Amino acid sequence: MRFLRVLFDKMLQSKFFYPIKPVIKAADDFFFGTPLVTQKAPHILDNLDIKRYMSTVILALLPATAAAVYFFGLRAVEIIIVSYVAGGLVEVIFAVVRKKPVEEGFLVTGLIFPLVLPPTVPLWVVVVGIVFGVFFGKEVFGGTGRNIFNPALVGRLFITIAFPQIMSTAWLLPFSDAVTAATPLVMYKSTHTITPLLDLLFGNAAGSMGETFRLGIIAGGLFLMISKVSNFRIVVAYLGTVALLSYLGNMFLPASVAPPLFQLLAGGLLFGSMFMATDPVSSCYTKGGKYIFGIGCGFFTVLIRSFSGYVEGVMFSIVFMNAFAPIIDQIVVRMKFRPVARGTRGRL
Amino acid sequence: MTTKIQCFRLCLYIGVTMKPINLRSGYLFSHFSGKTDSRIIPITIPDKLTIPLSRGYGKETPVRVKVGQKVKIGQALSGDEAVISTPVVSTVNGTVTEVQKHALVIEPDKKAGDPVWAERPGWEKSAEKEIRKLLYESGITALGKEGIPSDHKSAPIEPAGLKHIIISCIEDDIYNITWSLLLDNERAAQVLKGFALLHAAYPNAVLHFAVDKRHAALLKQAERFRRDHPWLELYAVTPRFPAHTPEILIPALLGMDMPWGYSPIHSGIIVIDIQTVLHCYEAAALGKPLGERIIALSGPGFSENPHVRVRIGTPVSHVVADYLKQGVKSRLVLNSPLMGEALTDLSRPVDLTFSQIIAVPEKPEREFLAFMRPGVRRDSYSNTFLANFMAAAKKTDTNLHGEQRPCIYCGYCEEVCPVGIIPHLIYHNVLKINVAEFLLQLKIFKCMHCNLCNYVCPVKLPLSQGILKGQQKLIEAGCDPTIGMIPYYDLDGLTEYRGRK
Repeated sequence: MRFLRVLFDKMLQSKFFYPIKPVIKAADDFFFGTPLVTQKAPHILDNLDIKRYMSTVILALLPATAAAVYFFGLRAVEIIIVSYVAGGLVEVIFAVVRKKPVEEGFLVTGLIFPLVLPPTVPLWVVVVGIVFGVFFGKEVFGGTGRNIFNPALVGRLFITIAFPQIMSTAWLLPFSDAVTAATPLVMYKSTHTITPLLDLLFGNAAGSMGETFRLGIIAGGLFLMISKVSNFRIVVAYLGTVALLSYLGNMFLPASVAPPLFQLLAGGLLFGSMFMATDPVSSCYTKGGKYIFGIGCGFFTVLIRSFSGYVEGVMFSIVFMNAFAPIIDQIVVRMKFRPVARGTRGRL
Repeated sequence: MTTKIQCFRLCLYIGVTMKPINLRSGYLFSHFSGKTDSRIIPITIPDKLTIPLSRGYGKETPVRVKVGQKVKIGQALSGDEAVISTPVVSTVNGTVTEVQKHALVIEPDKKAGDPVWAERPGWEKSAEKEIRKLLYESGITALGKEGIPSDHKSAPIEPAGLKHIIISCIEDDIYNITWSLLLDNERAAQVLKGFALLHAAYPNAVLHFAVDKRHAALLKQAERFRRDHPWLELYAVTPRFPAHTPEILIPALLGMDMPWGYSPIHSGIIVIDIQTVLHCYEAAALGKPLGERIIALSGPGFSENPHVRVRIGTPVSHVVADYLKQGVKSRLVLNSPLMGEALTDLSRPVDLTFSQIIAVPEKPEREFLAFMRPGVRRDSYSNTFLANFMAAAKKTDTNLHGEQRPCIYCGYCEEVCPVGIIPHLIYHNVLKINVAEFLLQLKIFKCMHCNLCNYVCPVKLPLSQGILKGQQKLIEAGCDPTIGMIPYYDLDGLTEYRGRK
């Protein structure tokens, strides 16, 4: 510990390391916390910091990650490492160029991104996806806190559209090397067979690496909501809308809309609603806006799943609603804080 | 408002005596180390007392005594009935040694002890004017945020204009005076007599007693008292910070909107604490002048955490000298760790605004992997630390506990905001623009600077300071916070701006 302290102090002072000072500063802050004290009231501050905030998300993702490694072996570990290294490099380069501290939001992006990839994905595609996601999804807007879209989703969206062959045809069943093209949602769309719900819950179905073990995802999502890191409003609105719309749709259009319980458990809906739609930066910040955001996500998910060429709509719907989040917030704020005197020009 | 009071009166008839007030926003603080214990220790009188000429509310008035003059306890040292003020009374027997610009220095005569205070006969039957005169002469009318009205110009309104007296007894802050301590044994009876005196002195006013929900015994006692004295209205309030402030209590108890920028006394409301009621009893029944205050010494920076009984005019250094922990650098904060100012000058005398002194240890040391620790003794708004599920006393220090980063829109500040504004939105708009109507539309002047948003922010943004900056900018541009608009506009919307539609 003392050795680290001396090392960081020397590196921060030396001219040789000046160009990569943000990186050293980030590592220093990571290990030792901050020496700053409050200047004015409030004299005491909450113990939560952004590192704790982000690492709570990682903690919540642990069951899903462990399941991915258990189901798909070392391949999953490889993909996660590649994602962290490639994305982290982009983050570090940007921090060095902008001379701003390395931001902690990447800790989550780097883990969420590999979890939504199919297990057969080539490593170079992982690199392309995460670099594109971090670069165009986050850094060009100014880093964590200023991004419009969820960076992990932007990366995933890019490679889905750019390499459809790789991304949507080669799935693996857990514990087997047999490549299949059928996820539960594909099977429903082509042959109307419903995968047993228990299989879905415990992960015995093809799908992206992190989204198969639904029990772990539910546990992690609940943990996040209880710890107040993610907001329950979006999750409740999202899942509720999907359940309601698929119930109604299945009643009137059983040919195209799947039943509600299957819809809730199949695909990436649970993972997307609990870990991606709740991203505080790219979703709405007003309480009412969060409900609208969730309802919108649910509506588009059911719409895309049932009536479009794609079998899965979670990713599209969240990115789509991300784009609308600022305007929803504006509307909610303008409705909540009305101009005091209306009707006259120049009035508030 | 009237309908609400009528409803409440109706409740009386059917036997409901206590009204629960559930505050939804705000922050529930619990289990902090360095809470005060149940002792009240008198502090010795120092060799030199510096009595400030402005002790609580009111203007400084001309000095009536000369250097070298002998003064008795309770003797008026200054006073002027022409301006809004309350006379400053001597808190000891002694000799005036120096007349400074804003203070008097008195050397106490330690041989001549205090007189024995006993209830004067017939105090219960005093006329209302007589009680108010006693309150004024003993210096109590300077207490409270804007004074207590009397017939001698001690507050902006006349006593007849006083409609509500709210007595708050809520332990909502991180550290508080243990109010229940002031209400045990014989003191409880004194406080109840104080209520009766206040009722006699201000017959037009309704007395509201807001009690911390957690004090079941106290509530029971007050309910018993209420059976014989139905003029007292009783409330059990959720102790969510900042529940003790007028900005929260008045809308919650009386169901009326606080006009922004106006002090509550203009609506005929005063908010006082239990200690003031005790002082009222002492002044009107015993004839004892306001010379002492009970101050809580809280916070882990003190080796012990008793309450102390201090003469007004005692320097802070004399009060804290015996209790400060040796070898720990502490910051002394006045009254509230969230809203209070730091006491940098320890020669500052104790005055009427003091209710507690908090010693918070300074902590510029860094902690190894602080964010990964389980946090059994760390407080947080989120439930990410174990402390929120355990009963261990939480630590407090002045460290920032994290680096400043751009806002991530987690919404914590909005969730805790007691007045229902969106702090991060106002903060960002203040940074973006100089002066704008949009800030007024976001109700920037509703902010009462309770600093809760700063406290809970995970990216450590100075939200409250930012909002203050915005308010100052607007005022510089000619905006009147009581009206809440920039003078460019005509004033048709005036009544609506005050929140009374």
